[in-house]
Amino acid sequence: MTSGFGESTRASAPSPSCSGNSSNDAGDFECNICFDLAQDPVITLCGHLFCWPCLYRWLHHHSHSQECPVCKALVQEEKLVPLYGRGKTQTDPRTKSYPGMEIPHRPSGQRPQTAPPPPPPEANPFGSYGFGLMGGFIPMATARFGNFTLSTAFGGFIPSLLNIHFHGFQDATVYGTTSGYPFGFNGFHGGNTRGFTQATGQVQRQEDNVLKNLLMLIGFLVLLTVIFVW
Amino acid sequence: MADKYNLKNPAVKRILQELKEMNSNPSDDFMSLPLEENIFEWQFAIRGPRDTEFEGGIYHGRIQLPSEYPFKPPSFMLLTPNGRFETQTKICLSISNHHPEHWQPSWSVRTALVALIAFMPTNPNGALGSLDYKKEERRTLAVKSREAPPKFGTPERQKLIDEIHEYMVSKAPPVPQPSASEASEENPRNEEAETHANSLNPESLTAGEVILDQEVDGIVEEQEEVLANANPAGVEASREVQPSVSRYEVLQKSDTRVQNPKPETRVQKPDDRLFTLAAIGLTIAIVVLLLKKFIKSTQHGALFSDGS
Repeated sequence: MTSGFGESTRASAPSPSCSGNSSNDAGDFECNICFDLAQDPVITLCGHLFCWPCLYRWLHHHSHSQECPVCKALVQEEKLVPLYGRGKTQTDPRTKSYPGMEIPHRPSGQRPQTAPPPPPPEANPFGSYGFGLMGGFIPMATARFGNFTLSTAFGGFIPSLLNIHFHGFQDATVYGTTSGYPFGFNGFHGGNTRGFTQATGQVQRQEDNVLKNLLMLIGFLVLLTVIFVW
Repeated sequence: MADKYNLKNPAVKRILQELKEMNSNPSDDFMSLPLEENIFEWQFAIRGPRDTEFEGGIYHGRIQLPSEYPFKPPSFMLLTPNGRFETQTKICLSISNHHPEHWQPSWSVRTALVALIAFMPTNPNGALGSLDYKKEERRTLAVKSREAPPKFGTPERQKLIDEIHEYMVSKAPPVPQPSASEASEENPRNEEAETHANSLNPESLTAGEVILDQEVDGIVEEQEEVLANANPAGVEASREVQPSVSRYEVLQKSDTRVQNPKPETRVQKPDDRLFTLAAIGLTIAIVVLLLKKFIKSTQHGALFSDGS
């Protein structure tokens, strides 16, 4: 609330002093507890930014329940996300030392798996195979329908096998990525947002996979019908 | 001023940061300053909330910050008679040290004073340190509060009180008379402060009223607790608006990325067309085969009828 109100005030009252402007720029990265530029910044699932020493002291020495100092949401230490900027991480002269208290290292980031490589195009094998078969048959009325059915069946059969195998690999990767991190978490992390995008792509491929299975089944039924009739 | 204090103390750094923020963004609704000799001792003055019997009043008070601030809550004491809180007695609210379990480290002196202004017109219901005067008496006390600041403490503190009182008199409009309301309209007002105060007042009042209605039969102690809980809703409601807006923006960004055209999508379109054509072809083939079977059945029937 304080930072929000401060920002609106600064917007309406332009530049009373230079320090006002500089503090305005840094307001978005100030700790919600010490109101200073965050040292060892960590961010909670509810999106609030703190210094790790300030949050640790609050959670372990003052809070009666593990609640966020801003919105009282439940805070789990294993789900805190550290922010790594370009500043020095090891030795910081501005180290914040609370007397009589040893603060452990902040929780490490939960890095998801490396993004899967871009998949190769899938239309080529089916298209070329199908076209090859259909182009090589005699254009008679009865034989035309029969041959068209046969060629379609063959065309639908082999690519399905290949695609099933291919998508199985992709699906495993995507599930591994998405199962550990709910969408709400992905929304606040750049890398995971890409993961979400790929998940959407995979959903489309799954639909294609289902369609191919359906076509294979229909082809099989057509083959049975042809055998029965003849 | 900063050179006199121990900058390694996190409480001192936090208090200096708050002081700097209040000096760069002064408000017409309240003013607070620390003592020179002790930065943990503050004097404050608040304006009575608008459209209430406290309007126009200037109420002074004292704040004591703990050494573990902001992890422990401060204590508040009013010095000007006001008809809502007792003077020279620590106030019992969720923002004060009577209820340390409700305190939030992200709250500050500024948010506490805004909450105090919002709590003035609420029903005390027997809370510790509260009074329940009639409206006429409160208005009389409001008029009297502008004439002179209260006498309290050391000469240095009194000097600070006088300074704050002079500032507040120049900022706050006078007490409106019940018959003529033109007096208040003549004075200019800070729209931003008014917007902020009004946005907080309805929420706090609504939360308090709703909770109190549900606890009509509760005992005095429970009512005290309920009244204390009214403030977190008021303060946090304003706070929660911002995070939800941020999340909405993040969601929009992710949606935009999903909708961006990609090579994969372009490659899959021809594939979908081929499959659509294949499905249509299969359907036609099945229909033709069924017709064939039907024709054969008809011929068989014809042969049978010819035979008979």
